[in-house]
Amino acid sequence: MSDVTQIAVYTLTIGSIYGLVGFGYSLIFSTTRIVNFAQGTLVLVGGYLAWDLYAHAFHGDVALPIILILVVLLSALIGVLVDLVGVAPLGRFDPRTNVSWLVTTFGLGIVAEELVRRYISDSSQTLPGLVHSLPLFGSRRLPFGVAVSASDVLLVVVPIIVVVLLEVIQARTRLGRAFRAVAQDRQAASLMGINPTVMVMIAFALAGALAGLAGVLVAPRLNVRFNISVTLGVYGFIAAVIGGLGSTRGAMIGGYLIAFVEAFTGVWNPFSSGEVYKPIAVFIIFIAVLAVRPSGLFGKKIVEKV
Amino acid sequence: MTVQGAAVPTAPAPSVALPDDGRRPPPAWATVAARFVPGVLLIAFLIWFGLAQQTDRVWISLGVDAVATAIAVVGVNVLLGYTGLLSLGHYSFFVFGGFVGAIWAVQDWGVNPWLGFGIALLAGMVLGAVLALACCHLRGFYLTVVTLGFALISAPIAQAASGLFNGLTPRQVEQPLDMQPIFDHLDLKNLQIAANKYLIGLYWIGAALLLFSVYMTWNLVHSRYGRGFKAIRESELAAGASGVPTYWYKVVAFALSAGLVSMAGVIAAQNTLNVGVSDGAAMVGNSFKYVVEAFTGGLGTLAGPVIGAFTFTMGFGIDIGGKTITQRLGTAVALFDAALVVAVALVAPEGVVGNLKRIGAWVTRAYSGAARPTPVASDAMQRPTPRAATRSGDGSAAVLEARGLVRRFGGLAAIDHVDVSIAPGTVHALIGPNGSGKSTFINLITGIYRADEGRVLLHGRDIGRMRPSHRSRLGVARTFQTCLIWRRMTVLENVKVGTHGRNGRRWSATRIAVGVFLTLALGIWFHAAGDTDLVPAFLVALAFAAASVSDLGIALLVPRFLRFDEQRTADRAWGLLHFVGLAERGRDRAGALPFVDQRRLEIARALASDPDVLLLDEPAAGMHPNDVHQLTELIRRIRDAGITVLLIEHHMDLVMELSDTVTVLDFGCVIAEGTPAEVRTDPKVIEAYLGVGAESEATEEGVST
Repeated sequence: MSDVTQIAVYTLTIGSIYGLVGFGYSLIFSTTRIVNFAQGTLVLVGGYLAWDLYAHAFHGDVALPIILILVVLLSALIGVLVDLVGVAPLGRFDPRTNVSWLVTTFGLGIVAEELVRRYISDSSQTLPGLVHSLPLFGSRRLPFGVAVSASDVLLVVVPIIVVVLLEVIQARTRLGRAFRAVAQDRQAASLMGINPTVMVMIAFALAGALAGLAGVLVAPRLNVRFNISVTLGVYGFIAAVIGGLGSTRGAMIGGYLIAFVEAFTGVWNPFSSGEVYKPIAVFIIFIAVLAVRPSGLFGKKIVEKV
Repeated sequence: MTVQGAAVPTAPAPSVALPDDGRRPPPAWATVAARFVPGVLLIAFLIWFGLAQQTDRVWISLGVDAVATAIAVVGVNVLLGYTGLLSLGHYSFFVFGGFVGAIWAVQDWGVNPWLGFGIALLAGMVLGAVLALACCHLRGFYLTVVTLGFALISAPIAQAASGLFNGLTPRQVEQPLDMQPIFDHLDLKNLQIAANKYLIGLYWIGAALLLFSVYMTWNLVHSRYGRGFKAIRESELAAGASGVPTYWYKVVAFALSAGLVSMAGVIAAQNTLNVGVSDGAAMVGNSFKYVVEAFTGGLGTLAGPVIGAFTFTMGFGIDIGGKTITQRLGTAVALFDAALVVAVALVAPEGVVGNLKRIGAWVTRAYSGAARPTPVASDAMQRPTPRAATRSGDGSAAVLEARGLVRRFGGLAAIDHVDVSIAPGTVHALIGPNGSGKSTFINLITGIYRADEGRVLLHGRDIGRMRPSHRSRLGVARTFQTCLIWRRMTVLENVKVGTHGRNGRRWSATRIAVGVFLTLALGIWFHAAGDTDLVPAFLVALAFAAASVSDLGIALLVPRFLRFDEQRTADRAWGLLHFVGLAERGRDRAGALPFVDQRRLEIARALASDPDVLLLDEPAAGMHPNDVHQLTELIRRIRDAGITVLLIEHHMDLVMELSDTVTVLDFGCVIAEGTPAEVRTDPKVIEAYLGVGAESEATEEGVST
């Protein structure tokens, strides 16, 4: 029976990270109709920034939660930089026929990754959990003998809080309304006195912040290393696409779904080594969902106007 | 400045018509040179490099690397540059090609190593097609993500499949190519050459394959496939509506590019004598490198990929102060590549070749690009021809019929049980206030939308479930309200794409005979000369022969001036440009046309499919009254040629003057139908347009909004 708990823990922890990254894609997509291919790298950059701040800048003197806040702010800044350097200068363009944005965002991702490699570290690093124990929780064992650390609990809880918070802001505040207006119709929004450029920048900042947050949260589990930029980047995107780009809930649910598929394949599969089949299973699910619903589970079908 | 509606010349008239801006046509030699100079330069460079650098081991090995990369980038360019689809997983095909062409075919199937290149090309196309079938229904970047996923899973697949195919784990190339035939002609007394002979041989093979790849792309671009690809890149919607089977064409583009990349992989495998799958991140990184190179050289150009690939390989090997650029960059190579491509995308998105062209245009600005003689078109070529033999409105069976059509958006029925029957040879107008469902109706007829209920009948045949391209091929053509032309293609090319459904090649006895002959000849040759067993030799020969005589094979291998169907397509396109009065602008970029001419171009493109029914979606919107008059004339001539016209229009004078029948829609329902005179006085129509209580004024003025 411990298999079930194991799958549940994996799904909830890793799934929420995929969802967090996917949410970033979703935010940018809904305002600009482009996909920020640097998103995965921002996760990596967040992790390494946190490690660098923790181990070098402050020599372990500053509590990690403070570093987390710093990293989130820095990542937001990097997100804005991606927009300012890679997307804003392209001006107004049709993302379907002009593919420059693909090249600039992906290229900037590599630039950021290489800068980390050169100036921070070129090897895998470890970062301790944000907190070692939670009040009321401690380091506890669930029934069936699965160990759950405090950082795992944060991994589950923080993304949900953040996403709910952002949902509330989107629904209830003036800024949120402006944001949704730009997402629905950029031109009409700008005629109503909303500056779409600013909204796009906010989207990039938020996406960057989410990626940075994901990078720090996931560090105790996956370590700070380079290939997470591709895996988390692609899986996050797959989560967002499966859920439906532009839908918040979709990204989270998509994240849980693929994490579940991964965990499930890892535990129950007829072959000997489950690890190898994880990505294959995710890929198959991805193709299957897109074959049935090209706009994702919660996405609105896009009908081209003629 | 618009061109007058062309009078149909009965005898070949003088063909040169110069726009009156005092510019001269460029000299003939310049036109020819511009076309062939890049190719000649490439050949000269490859030969010079091979001869000059054969004693230098570093450089000749850079050369092998460069030609292999160039072939791969040419392949990526077919997909990204011409079709507008970005793949970030093509490096997987590179590795796959190495496995197939250098290891499996040779070591496991006993095929001569020399055939490895062709086998990798075909096998890569097959694998590419399989992946493409699963993802080409997706819009742009979704496809990119699938390819990213493919790159990520290629290593796990290799592991998982290690039992199959004798394994995908890293393997040695045990039977490298035998270079002896090449070296019969070389001076082996030179010790350095003798030491490098394997690399030198590989370089020459790679160079030949590169030229072959460029030659194939060159043919492709000027074939119906290439035009279809570009049309998809510019506007997939318009491509489908013009008869391009977009899904299949995307699959073909993907397969072709995968094939070329696979072929390049064989050269690399023969070079390093080792093939292995690296991890997902490296697969993606290397795939992106191809994109960088294609982008830097110039996407969607023939020379761009070669220039880009050579710059990043040979170019980086150039010595500056005792160190090559690669050595100077050291580990910063990846950083430099990425920063460079971002800079190129922002500053010069057209790449090296695109900007050279721009400079060229600036240098030759004294010459008029359009002023090359406009070909004359025969009378027959200028006449719009419906494919069914329906002539003039005798009111018999309907050519096009909508029965009980319903289309809902959310809860609202935009089209609510509409029945319309269009008599052959007539102009049938569809009018109605804004939002009454006119455009939705056209989209339902042409297949842009699927109807929720009801049927669409063309000559009594239900076409309601077909894709837009299929309907177009059966004889339903349209123009778009928003004028969807392919802006970066020439005016002539736009019309040529329109012939898509018409000039398809059919299987003829000649083609089959050539195929059989090729199979036999190649099979015997492979068996006799190549030391290959009989069965694999003939299987490979059959695959080559079938590929060569397939539609795609012909498009790739036969240059356009040898192709009759291309001649016919060109004649027809010029003819229809004469018909709408645009022939003098035939060689201009379509995006450079003034708005009115873009409308004419759309009509010419639609006519090129020899439609039975032409659907015009607000052709006069935003037009000056003078131009509306010409348009009226044009529509009349189309009708007189026997093509049925369904006209959506707000210009009531145009509608009243032209139409035989008028159908009025309001809130998705037909509220009136009849002759213009009947409809004009119908109280329900007046109410719909002007509201209740406005009858008295409206009746006097007619409905002239």
